[in-house]
Amino acid sequence: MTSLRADVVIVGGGQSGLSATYELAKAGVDVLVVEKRESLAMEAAGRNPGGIRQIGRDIHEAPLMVAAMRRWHGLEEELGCSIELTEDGYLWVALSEDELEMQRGLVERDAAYGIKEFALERDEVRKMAPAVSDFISGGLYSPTDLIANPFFVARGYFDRAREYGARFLFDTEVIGLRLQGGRVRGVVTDQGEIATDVVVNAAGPWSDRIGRMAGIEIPITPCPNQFIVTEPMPPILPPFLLISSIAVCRQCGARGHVYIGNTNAPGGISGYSKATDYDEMVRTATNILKIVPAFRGLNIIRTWVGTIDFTPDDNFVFGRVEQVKGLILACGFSGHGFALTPIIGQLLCELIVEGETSLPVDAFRLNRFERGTAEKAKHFAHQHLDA
Amino acid sequence: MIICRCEEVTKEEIVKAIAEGCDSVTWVKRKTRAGMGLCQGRTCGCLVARLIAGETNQGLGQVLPDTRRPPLRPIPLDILEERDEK
Repeated sequence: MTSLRADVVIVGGGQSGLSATYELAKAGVDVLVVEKRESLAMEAAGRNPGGIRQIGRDIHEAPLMVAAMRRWHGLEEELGCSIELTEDGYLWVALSEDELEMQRGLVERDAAYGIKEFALERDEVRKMAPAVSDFISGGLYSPTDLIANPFFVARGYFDRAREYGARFLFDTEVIGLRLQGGRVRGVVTDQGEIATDVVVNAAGPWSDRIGRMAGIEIPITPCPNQFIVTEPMPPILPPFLLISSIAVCRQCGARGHVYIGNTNAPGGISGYSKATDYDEMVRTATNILKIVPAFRGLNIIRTWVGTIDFTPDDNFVFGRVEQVKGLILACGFSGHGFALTPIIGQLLCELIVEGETSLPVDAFRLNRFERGTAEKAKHFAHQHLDA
Repeated sequence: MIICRCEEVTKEEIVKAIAEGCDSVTWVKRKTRAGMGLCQGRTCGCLVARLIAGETNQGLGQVLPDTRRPPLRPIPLDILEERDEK
C-alpha cells in the first residue's frame, strides 16, 4: 500500500459502514473502507436474525426508525437485488401482567410516531400463533415491522458502492489515527497509511479502540449474543419475529429452519468471544420450550455468536466529536443497529456532504455520557430487547 | 446438477453466485444457502470450494473454507432443556 488517499475513510465493513459507503459513493464522494476481517459483514452484521423493529424503541430512536422504514420499503428497487424483505410484523409476548401493562402503555406512545401496535390478550395471541403456549400473559403486535436477509442487504450495498467507485481494503486493521492541530489527517493501518480528512468510526464492538487512538473514551461493552439454528420443520409459527424478555425466535419462511436466540440477561457475559457456549444453549432451549413447546424434538444443526456493542444507555453514538475535527462516530448500536442501517448511511452522508442532518440526532451525541455514571447503572438494571 | 443436497442448490446457482463476486465458501453459502442445511456443508463444502477454485483460477488451497460451528452432529433441542425436578 503506497501513498493512498481518500476524501472519507470508513472504519468497519458492517451494516452501517456499508450503507454509509454506498450513500457517499453515490453522492460522488471518494470513499474507502478499511475492514480488519477478510470480507464484509463478518461480525454482527452477518450474525443477526434480520429483524427490523419499530416496536418498543427508545423515544429518540422512534422517529429515525420511522424514516428508516420508508428507506427499507424502497431498498430492493434501489439496490437492484432481493433482500428477502417481508412484512409480517413482530409479536412481542409478555410473560407477566407487569410486562403486559408496560406494553399497553407503548401503544399510545408509539402511535404518536405513526407506529401501529396492538395490545393482545393471551387468547388473542394464541389465536394468531396457536403454537405459543399459555405460559405467556398476552402480547403486543406490530404488523408493519419487517424482516430482511442481512447477507443480501450487506452484499447489495457493497456491490452498488463499488459500482459508484468506493474502494475496500479487507484484512486491514486500523492501528492508529494521524492527528495534527486537533484534527484528523490520516489513518494508520497494519498495511500502511491512508491520508484523509474525514474518518467514520463504524467499528462496532471495536469502536472504543478507534476512539482511544484519538484520545476519546467511547463507553462500549462488547457482549456475545448466541443463536441456535434448527433443522427445517413445517411452518408452525406465522412468519413474524417472536420476541420476549427471555428469547427471540423466527421461523424462516422459505425452508422452515428456526432461529432461536437469547436476549442478553442483565449483568450477563461480556467480551469478544464467538465460541459457542453450552450453558447459553441450555438457557435458549429451556426458555423457548416454555413459549413454543412444539419445538420439542427438533434438531439443532448450528449455532452462531455475534458481538453486540452495548452502550451504558442502550442507545447508539452518532455524530462529530468536539475534541477531534474530522472524526465522526456511528457505533454502539446495542443490538438494534441492523434495523437502522439505511437511515444511518443517509444521515452520515448528509453530515459529511451537507454539514448537517435532516433528522435530529443530538440525543445520540457522545457527550451525553459525560454527565455521570447514573446511566451506567441502568445497563445492569435493564432487560435488553436486542433483536 | 445438485451440489448441496440438503438445501437443493444446483451447480448453476453456485457458478452464478461466484460470477457475482462470491469467491469464498462462506459467501456462496450466504448467497445460495449451499451448506446451510442439515449436514452443514460436510457433504458439499469441498465441491463448492472446488467450483470456486475452478471458476476463479486459483488453487484449492487458496479458497477459504466455511466456519465450522457446534454441534458436530444434529442434537434435539429438548435434551438441553433444564426441567424443574419435582
